[in-house]
Amino acid sequence: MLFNRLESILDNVQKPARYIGGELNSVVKKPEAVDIRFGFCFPDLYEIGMSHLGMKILYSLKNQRDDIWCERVFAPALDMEAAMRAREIPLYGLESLEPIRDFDMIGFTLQYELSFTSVLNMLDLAGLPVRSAERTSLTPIVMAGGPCACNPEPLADFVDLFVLGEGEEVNLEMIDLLKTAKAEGWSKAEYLRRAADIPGIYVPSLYDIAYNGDGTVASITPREGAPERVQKRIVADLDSVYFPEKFVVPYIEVVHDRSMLEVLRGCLRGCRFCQAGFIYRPFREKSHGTLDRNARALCASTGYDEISLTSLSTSDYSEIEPLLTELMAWTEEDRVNISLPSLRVDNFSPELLEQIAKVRKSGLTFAPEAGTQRLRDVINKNITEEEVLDTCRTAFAGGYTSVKLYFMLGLPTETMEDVAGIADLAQKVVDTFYAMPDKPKGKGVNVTISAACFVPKPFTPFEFEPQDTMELFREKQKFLRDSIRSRKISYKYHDSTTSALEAVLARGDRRLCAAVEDAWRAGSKLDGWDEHFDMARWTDAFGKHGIDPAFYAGRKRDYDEIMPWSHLDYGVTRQYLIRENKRAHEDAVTPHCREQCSGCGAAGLYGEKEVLLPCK
Amino acid sequence: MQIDQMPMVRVVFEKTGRAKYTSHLDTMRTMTRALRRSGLPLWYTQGFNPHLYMTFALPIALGYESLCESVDLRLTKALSHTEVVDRLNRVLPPGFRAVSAAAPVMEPRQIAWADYAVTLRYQDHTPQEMLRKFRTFLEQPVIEVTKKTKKGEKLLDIRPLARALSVGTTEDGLSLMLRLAAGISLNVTPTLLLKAFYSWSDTLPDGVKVLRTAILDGNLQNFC
Repeated sequence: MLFNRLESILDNVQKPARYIGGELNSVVKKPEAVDIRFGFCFPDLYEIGMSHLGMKILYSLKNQRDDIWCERVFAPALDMEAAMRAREIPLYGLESLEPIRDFDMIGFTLQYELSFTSVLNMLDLAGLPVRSAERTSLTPIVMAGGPCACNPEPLADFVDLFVLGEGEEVNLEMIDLLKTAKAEGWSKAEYLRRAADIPGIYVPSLYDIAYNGDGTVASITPREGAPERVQKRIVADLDSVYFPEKFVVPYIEVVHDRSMLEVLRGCLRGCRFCQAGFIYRPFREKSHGTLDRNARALCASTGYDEISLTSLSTSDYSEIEPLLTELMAWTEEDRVNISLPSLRVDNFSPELLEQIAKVRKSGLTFAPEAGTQRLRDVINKNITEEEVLDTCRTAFAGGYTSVKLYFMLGLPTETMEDVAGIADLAQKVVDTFYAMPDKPKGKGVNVTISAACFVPKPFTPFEFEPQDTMELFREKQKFLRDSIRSRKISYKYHDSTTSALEAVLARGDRRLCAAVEDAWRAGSKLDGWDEHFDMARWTDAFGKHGIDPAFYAGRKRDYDEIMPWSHLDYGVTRQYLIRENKRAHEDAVTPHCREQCSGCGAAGLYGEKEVLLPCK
Repeated sequence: MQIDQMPMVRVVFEKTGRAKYTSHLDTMRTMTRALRRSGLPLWYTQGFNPHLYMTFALPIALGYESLCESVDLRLTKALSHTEVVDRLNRVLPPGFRAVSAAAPVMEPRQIAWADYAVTLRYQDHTPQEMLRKFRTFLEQPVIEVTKKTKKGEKLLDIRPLARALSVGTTEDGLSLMLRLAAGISLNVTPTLLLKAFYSWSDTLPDGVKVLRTAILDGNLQNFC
């Protein structure tokens, strides 16, 4: 145990509580009493990782088993990393304070592309070679999952196996196989070969990739009996899926520091830019009774005074009214607040508003995503300007005076007219406020525009689309700024450089691995943090390996091009994505799943033979 | 029950081990959540944003351990003090432990002194050498330090505000019992004295441990 060596450095680092564990509900077991030690790594700081619901679920799920000890591991901040390297303290698990290089399995969750270099950095801090081929012993096996595992190719040389889709079942199957491997003395190669037989597990080293002269993928060929296509896993019955009764309660303040309930998985909306809206399909809900039980258990075990009803679109939850009624029956007396993030403007009722108002009156956030109706139709964001303005009117009448509007720049088919439309819409929100006879007295209105740069992602109808160049992004940002005339509107934007890199990594192939490694060796880590990010390190790394970022980010891809992720199956079919892409270019909207099934293919994940069945 | 009839209770708790890395702000949050889990009948402040009523006297600094932290609470029902301690200990996280509870006697403004057990470890200096140095350091008639206050920095002679109750050696360093002026208006932390010693002796320890053992009033009576 490293406690004494840690004590000597923790006095001199920021927020030492990040690095010492011992929080309420953290799980400590006897090392000799377990068969598998698992280091669950989140490749970002403690405050970010401790806010993540998926990690909480899988941590508790594994620790429920007597034979597994799962510990949490986060990326240290730069001051802590320097102190650890200076004293040769290897990366350790927060529960045991023992080095993770001695564990049986190390698992990373890949939430965003800019955390890739932190994966390498954490392996290196652990004292392990970053390349999979150089880690020759059976343990530790390095695995990864999460949304970015849907195109894991830029990490193919570093990670031994990827889990596609939902982890509740496959994680345990993968661990059970490792138990057998340890007991029977298998080689790492043998374990990986057999792991590839488990549905949902992708072993990148078992696939040969060939390329065409123009740089596109020519073929993806499995070896040693690995499946031609790896299909993501889902939990068919969400209502009975494991959900923790306890969360580890951090001492320091983290980003989301509250009880979180997962009310549903998937999304029925089909916004064409949104990767989460497609890779988490099919749409499944939990029953309100289950959620109420989850909420009571969590509040009792943590002492949290806030419950957040999380999902991609909580107002689409069909049992929202009975759930709120059930929760309100006890939360008021227990002084617990309910928060409802991710509401849509088209089903935002005065009752829901009243509900939110009970929590706090800070401000409201809406995401129209695009400034004109035409472009909102292109991206299938099925909301109208009237709905946005009506909702703002309801909110203003309820006493709100501050509204935040989220948009994207660089969406496919966008023109300068669409960019100006963002400023126009914000202006109309301001005008709506001043046109109200019953507007909140004595206060002005405050509209904030936040415009992100669009990044085309795999498994969306826009996976074929080029990203705008950085120059065009900057031009659009400047144009938008100049289009705003009211002082009631403030405009926030972000430098397009990180979005450009994100676009390269999101749709990249495994030839990028060398550049990822070099960018990390040059000092890249925690790239999602502006203060640590330096594009020059990446530009150098790309240059050194003859990689043209525009080939990955700025090129229009043909409908029949083999994508680096074409052997991975997330339920939604290529035919469906092509159909949706064509409809986008015709400015045609597609109704959401409850109105009409559009045959995306995700129902096939339930195991039915006929793929194009509507979801349950 | 009217508010003036609701019993006040002062809970004394320890904060040791890994819990020393919990700052005061984080300790308040930790205590709030523990109190909510405990099911104790506690009074919440009234008004627009009600919160659990809690008052801490002289919270220990980040990185130090303490045997004598205190928090004052207001109960909405009479309850035995042992019950308060037991119910709290069932829910407190590792490193936090309730020791006792009682009706408050002393006001926080009466606090005048605090006792600290300090251990310093040295790799490149013998314990005897450091012991000599520390004794000589204490023999100075004036020990001037710069103390940061809200109004800026000011010079302060801490010699009359610091007493060494005992000074001894360990295997690899020094073991000190210090009594330092404490309180709301003037608080001399061990860091203040130790930093003065480091710069005077031109030595830096390889490890420091500080444990607060008592909080006292001007007559050296225990605060809690």
